Amino acid sequence: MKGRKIILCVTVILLLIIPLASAGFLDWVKKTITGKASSQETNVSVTVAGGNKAVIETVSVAASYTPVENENHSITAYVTVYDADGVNDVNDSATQIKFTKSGETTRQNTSCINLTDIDANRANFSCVVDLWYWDGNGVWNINATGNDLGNKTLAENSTESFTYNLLYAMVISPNVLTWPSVTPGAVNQTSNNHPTLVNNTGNYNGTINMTGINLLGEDTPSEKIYAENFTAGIVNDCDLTGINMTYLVNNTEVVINNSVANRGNLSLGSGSGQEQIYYCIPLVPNPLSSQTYSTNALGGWTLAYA
Amino acid sequence: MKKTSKFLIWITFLIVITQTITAFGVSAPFWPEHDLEMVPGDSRIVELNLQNMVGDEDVEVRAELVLGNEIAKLKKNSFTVKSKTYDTMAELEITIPPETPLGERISVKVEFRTIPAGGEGMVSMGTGMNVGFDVVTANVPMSPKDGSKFPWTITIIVTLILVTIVISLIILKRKQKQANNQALTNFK
Repeated sequence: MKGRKIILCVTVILLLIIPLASAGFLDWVKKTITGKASSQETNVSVTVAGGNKAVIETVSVAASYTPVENENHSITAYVTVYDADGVNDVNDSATQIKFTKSGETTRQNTSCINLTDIDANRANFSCVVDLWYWDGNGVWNINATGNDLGNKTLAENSTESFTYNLLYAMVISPNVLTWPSVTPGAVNQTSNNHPTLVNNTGNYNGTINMTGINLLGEDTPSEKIYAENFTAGIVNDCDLTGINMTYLVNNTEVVINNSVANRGNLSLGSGSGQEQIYYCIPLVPNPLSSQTYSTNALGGWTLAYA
Repeated sequence: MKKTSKFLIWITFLIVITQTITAFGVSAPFWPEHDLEMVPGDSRIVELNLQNMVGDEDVEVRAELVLGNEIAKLKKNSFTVKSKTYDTMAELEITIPPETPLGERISVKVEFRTIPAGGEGMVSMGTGMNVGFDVVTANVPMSPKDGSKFPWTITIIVTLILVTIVISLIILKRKQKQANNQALTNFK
């Protein structure tokens, strides 16, 4: 009885192990002789795209940047993109960054570079963006975006910002003023080499100030032409209305009426980033001796921002 | 004719111009709408960045603190800003007295003036920048976004010291245990 049971069990196991299908000899011939090469090496590429969306984990920049006079400042932001499906699912060509500030031109980089894979799920991107000398000072917001190959949902991070500092900078030309010979009592005598071209090579936006100094006679220093005899203005005539000009005050800073620093891109050549300052002697003092009067003894005049 | 000649004023300045442009710039981390917040009793250095990127000549600059003398001090008053550079720093040391009440607003202003080259018969022109900002007393320390940095060096050093102490303790304990075992074996 016991032996029968053993035989029965062995039979059942054999039935389960041995395949039930059978094939004839012709089937074997058909399978084997196909006319095709028996084997061949083939390169197989498999792209695995996951279902999880990418995440911009971090955006790293410095707290503040200083503009460079008449140039750009290249700012590098580092962006970490995370994908739960693995770093290979991160789209290397999709990471972008934008710097924005209200009223300013958006500065961006649409092709950030994948520097390295931090670990199995994170890639570190480098994004270089140029800010220019005329770009506004203050807080700039950062918007970083990225994507993956599988989920394709845009990943975004707008939590970071930085401060772009204020740069007061100007280039003036010419840096020497001249007048033709004038006679005492003459009116509205304008400089013969003005205007002073004031190029704003920074991002300051405001008025232009002027400090005049009395001119002393080079032969007789006790004689002078007071700074108060001169005006500085933004129009090419001796506008005595005071609207577009200002009387200078000895050794005192005065705002040139209606002048503007007018920050902007100087290379456009359209007057952007420029102001022109004209000079006039509304009434030449009388009497005065004939000699040259200059700033040599007391120091030069100053054009200033703020 | 002589009289006319006597009254003839020659304000004709010789155009012996060695350089025709003057360039200069100052960058500041604070400005009128961007205050510096400090805790009473605190002290810090504000760096004002002097630049001369356009001109081909070095520029001599004079600096003068015209507002905020009670809390601010310029470390230097004259600077030579080399041509094509933007890394000259004018350091302004600001110290808030401990007894200063919170919310106090103190204006600080530094005037920078280039020293015109000058020359015979010229009205020379220079440039100037008036850098001003307010210092406001507050009871909160500056945030990292305002320029302070996390003290990584100190953190690393402290961590290293702690790790060394822990390892030393472990080694000491093991040696002690070994000594005890040795003593026990000898006793047996």
